[in-house]
Amino acid sequence: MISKTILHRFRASSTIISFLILSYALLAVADTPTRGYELSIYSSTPIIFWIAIVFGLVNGLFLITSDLYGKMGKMWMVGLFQIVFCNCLVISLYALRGYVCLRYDPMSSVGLAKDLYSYGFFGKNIYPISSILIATFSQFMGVPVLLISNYLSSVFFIIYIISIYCWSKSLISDRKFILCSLIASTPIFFAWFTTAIYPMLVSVLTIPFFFYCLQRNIDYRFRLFSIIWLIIYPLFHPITAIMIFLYLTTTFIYERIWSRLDEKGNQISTTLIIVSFVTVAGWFIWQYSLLSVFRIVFFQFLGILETRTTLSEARFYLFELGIMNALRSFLLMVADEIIYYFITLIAFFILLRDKRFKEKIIPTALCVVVGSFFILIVSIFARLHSFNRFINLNTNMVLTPTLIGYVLYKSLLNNEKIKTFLILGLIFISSFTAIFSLYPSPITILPNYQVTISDVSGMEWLINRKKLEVKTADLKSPVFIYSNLIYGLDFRLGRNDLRPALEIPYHFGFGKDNIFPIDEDRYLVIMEFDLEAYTKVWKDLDKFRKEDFIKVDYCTNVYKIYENGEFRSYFVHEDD
Amino acid sequence: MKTVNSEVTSYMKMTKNFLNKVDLVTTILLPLLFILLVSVPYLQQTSIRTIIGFLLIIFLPGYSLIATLFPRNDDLGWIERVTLSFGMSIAIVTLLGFVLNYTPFGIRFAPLLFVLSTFTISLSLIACIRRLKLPAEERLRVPFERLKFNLGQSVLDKVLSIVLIASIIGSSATLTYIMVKPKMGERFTEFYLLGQNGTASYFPTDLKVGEEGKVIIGIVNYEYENINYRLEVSFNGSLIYEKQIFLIENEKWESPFTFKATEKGENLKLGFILYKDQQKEAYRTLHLWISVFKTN
Repeated sequence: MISKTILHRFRASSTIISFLILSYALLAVADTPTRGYELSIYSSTPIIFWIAIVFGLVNGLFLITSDLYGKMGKMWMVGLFQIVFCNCLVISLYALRGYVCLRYDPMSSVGLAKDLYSYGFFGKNIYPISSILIATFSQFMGVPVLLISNYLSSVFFIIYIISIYCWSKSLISDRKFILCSLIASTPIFFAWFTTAIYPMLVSVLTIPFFFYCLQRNIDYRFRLFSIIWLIIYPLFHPITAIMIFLYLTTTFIYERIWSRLDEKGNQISTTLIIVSFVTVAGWFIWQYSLLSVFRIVFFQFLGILETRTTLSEARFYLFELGIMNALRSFLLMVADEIIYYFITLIAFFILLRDKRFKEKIIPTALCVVVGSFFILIVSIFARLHSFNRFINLNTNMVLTPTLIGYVLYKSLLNNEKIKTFLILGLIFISSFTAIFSLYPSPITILPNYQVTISDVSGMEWLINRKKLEVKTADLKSPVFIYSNLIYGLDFRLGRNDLRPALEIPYHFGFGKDNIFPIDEDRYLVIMEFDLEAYTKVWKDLDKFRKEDFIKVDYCTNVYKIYENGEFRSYFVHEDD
Repeated sequence: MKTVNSEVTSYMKMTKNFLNKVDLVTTILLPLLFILLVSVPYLQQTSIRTIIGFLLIIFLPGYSLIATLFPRNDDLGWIERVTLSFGMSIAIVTLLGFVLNYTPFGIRFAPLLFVLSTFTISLSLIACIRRLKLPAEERLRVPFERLKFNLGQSVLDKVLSIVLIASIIGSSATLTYIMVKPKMGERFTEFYLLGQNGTASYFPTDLKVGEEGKVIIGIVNYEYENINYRLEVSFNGSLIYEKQIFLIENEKWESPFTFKATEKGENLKLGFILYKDQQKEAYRTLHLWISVFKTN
């Protein structure tokens, strides 16, 4: 038996070593900033960083777990801090390494915040909350919008973790259960969504906070907080608001039909359901673009409209990548989710026989089940969002830590050592796979979504110097998205020339000495990202080969007018 | 002696009274301090403004609301109080911003600062009044005594505890340093061509023999150092122009360039090559294809 003193010294020493390695790793990261496009952030970041992160997470989990046994000390707080610290480092790694930001949606989010910062009004922005937050932080702190947007998801991740603490405490006020839930909240869910500010992501990370308020809803003050958040959710992200409405309805039905609690013990009142419905419906009606999306989805459900569904989009990916590649990519990205679903299922069955905690925890389990079915049905019959979004930003996952915590807690109470160890092992595997699928990289058949300073500089030149009548063409780097990032969305609305309207044929549609026959002049943009993506990660697609990019320089209808090493711009002359 | 004792007692009572309200005093003073910081030009760019600005959005409005609604010490635990302060601050800031959007003021710095400061200060004052109405032992107070560190019994334990705290502070400080430190990873040079009207169009692609073509050549140095460039222009394989260009860091060079079409031919390459320092390999290349026709 190890004495308490030796255990304490061992824990202190391992934590000191772990933090020292983390400091060293941070300095190593600062010493090796990005010098251009990197295909994989995992291989371009010094390996000491990954060692420090894995060691830090293991140590953090060890500190919390060791406090689960015997008398509670305060080391679990250090462990929790270490887990949060390590996860925040991973989430912010791209910013620490000097990336401008990540591609696509985050660029538009920055643009929306820039518009709000410049004009003071959010206009037709359907996600005003995240824009208000970024712009306000930027104004009050006196730092650029871009910097705020790069670090804000880490702030929300911290709020998510402490909300899990409060929520689990309100469910079962036993410190062991709270620690179990905190251990279960270690994995960073949402592969490549958690790394940058997305309106949906930040709204999803506040769900445990909302559930905490709901749990203590009997108190009028918490009811007030719940109502305030119900007003905010539709403005944060419509899908999150719909999911919240679904969770409320599920719990409401459970409480009224199956629960043995008397009416006073019910958390969900009819008023809350009405507030949720009215705010969601109100925002949909207020914003025409949301209403038209809703109409499309509704008609898809009725079978009147036959357009692309999320499932057909998934089939397209399957066809493009090949079954084995797509399956590998899918499994790597959702490994943590699959493990957590598996344990949730176990939790559900244990709960059915558990008279003590059933009433408290089963609504959460039901919400996960109903929420998952909802996503599945929407994916099969309609297109509420892209396939990527549904598998990588599955809202239901933020509810699982308390359920996984419950299974861990039960095995601790029953003194089932092997089961406890197994669950802890599964949580660690989930954390590990979550980190290594957090950024798009060749591991998941995706190129790194890095935006370099050279890219932005090149795009800025093109947007400012191009002839307004001439449109643009790109491979996988739309000019309008860069315009969103640099000048905001409002600027782009007045520049139709930046919208892509040309599908570039395979191998640029080479002719004898020209490329893609077109009937009007175009600016063609080629970035290092496009080159690396098509010649390395998506090589099997055979859409563009290395020699295609070389041949472009020899085509007589193509003038090379800009180069900065990472970014090339061509003026493609129309066919004579 | 009695007088000294009573003075000490009254001093201790005052200190205790102050400590009981120190949180609310802080929530009142920080917005005022922030207003002062942003009003004085010299103080606007200080890191203290950044920190207080951050707190004014993420914590203080929520804290004052929670302090108003939960004035008793046993209403909530401190971790819950902090969590609620974060969550409700986000809610308050965004909702106030949302309301401001529909007023002529908009979501701008001055109106938002006014609304947020008024909200935080007035709620803190209400919280103060509500707290004072409670019996002294029920009033919420910051548990300073819990902040004491138990460093351990033996010297070794004490040393380990101190090193542990130092290592945590060290890691956090390193992270802060890296976050604010400018990154100088990407070094590059922009090399470009423009038509004679200064836009990326109207390139001289169809000329008659003897006719002159005009373009603008541009170079921008983002290499974080002064660079000696060499520019070469060739037409149909023959070198027609050469120039040394020295640019300091972040300097831009733009110059018109005129060439003469001397021989007839279709799709003759007008190449622009940029060399960096004494390198023999081309650093950047650009080109146009020119068709030269006979005069008649």
